[in-house]
Amino acid sequence: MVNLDKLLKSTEDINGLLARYGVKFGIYKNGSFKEQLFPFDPIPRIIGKEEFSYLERGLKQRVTALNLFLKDVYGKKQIISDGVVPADFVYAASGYLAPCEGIVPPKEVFSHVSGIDLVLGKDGVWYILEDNLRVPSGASYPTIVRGLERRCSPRTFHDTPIEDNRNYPQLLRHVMDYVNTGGMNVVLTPGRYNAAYFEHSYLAEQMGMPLVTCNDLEVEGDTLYFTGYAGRKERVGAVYRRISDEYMDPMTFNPESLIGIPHIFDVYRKGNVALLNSPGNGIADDKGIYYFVPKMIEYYLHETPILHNAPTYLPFYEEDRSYVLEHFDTLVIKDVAPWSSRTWRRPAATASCSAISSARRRRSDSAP
Amino acid sequence: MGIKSVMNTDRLFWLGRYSERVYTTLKLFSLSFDSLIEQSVDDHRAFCESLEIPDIYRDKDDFIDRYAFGLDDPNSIISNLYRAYDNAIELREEIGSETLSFIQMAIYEMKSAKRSEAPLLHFQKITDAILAFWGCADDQIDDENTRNIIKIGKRDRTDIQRDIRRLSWRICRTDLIYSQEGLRRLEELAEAPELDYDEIIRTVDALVEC
Repeated sequence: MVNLDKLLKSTEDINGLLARYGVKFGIYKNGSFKEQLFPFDPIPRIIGKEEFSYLERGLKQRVTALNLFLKDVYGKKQIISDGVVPADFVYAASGYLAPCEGIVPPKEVFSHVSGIDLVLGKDGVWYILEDNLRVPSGASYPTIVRGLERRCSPRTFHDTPIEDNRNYPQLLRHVMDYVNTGGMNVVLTPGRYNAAYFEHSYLAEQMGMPLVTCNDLEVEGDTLYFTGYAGRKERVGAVYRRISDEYMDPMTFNPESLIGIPHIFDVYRKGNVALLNSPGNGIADDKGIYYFVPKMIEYYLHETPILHNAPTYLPFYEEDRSYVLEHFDTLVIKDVAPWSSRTWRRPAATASCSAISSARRRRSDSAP
Repeated sequence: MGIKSVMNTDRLFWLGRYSERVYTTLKLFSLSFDSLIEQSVDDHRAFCESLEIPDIYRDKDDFIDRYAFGLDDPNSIISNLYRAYDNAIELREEIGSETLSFIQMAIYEMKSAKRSEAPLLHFQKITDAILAFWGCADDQIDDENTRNIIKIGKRDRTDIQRDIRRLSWRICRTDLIYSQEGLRRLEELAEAPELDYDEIIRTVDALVEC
């Protein structure tokens, strides 16, 4: 059993340290920006080692399939021609970006950071709630908190074997080094008034790389450069960008973007810089495409999906449509537009969900 | 980390400058605050003149409130502290979370001071936080260039004036043989519209007879 007494008693100390280190998130309220401290919940969600290994296998399998889907859908499109995913669901989705056609990112990695939302059902089964493959956020908070927890309650960690999660920045740096096309790594932020600015600055600090805005980067020829104060320029080989696709490059996407870098997409297309995550990933985390992810796993990997989608019905298919019409009052109805939060009915059994990146890795002798 | 952006270079300079300004004005204000506790005569004007800031304050109480805590007053201590914070918060990857945390703590303490009937107690903690910030910057920032830019900003007029006042106060309490004329000249130089750093250094060098 985890010794939680000390940890629970340390809540105030931990919150004090979170304030000291400025662990905040920004919110816009009534037209003005406000920063709020991140509240710390001392009660952990305990995931036993065996259960965690199961989740890890399932998540790796899912992300591998999603990555293959992205390569296919912007390439040969075999999954469409083989009738596994209907073309309508691909081309009508706002996450599909035509400019990404034919582009294969460095080392063929599309989704470098994947935020897969998991929920534990009342039946004791873990379900995938949604996939986030564009600009997933939140990994810094459990990373910094773990260090503070250990400082305030060493006994908890002495008495209980708990998996360490503080290597996240090093893992991310390793991924950046792996896909780097030659040059320095940078973290690109929209700026201080972004809700997740703490995370951007903290990860840059922990990875030992500059936190930059659009003003610090420029494209010259086919190369992206970081410009220093003395006019010195240094080539950039990988950008961990915390800016949405549509704002990345005003010359390719939204022309009104003031936070993007003109022509960065051209450099990316030519393979001269790695962008993490790759533009165009939105097609794979679309709510309509979600339905097809188990089929993708079977199609690309020839494996049975380890983790389950939440039971989902797509009225596009006759059989599903009949079921939906019969059980309309008991189902959660969601718009399939990406990022849409339109939900017309809340689930009868509400369960909290969290990204696996923020799920606490627990090793416990007791079975889940 | 090597190459540094134009914006971050600018921020480092102003972080040093504003943190120094907070430290210096807090010390001077604390002395004035102490003398104003019993005084019926309002002499906050002397304070404004000495710092060459406009006297926009109605009276002693207004001065104490707005000079310390007036967010609309660009000369106030809290304004300078917030400007230091604005720069520091965008420099986490340059100066580190630990160094940044001392500016963050100074902000919290300033908020407590504003609500307190005994702000000097909190001012002391702000001074401690600023001193710890400089110490931490020296200790934990590996990049010499980064440290130097902060320190270049750290030097400002009030800093020089304070040092010269301190020098005057100390030197006459020693056995050193020094030039009275040189000391007067230093005080003039400190009050000049443009600081002549070379002349100040030469005068200090020639102050004591060896």
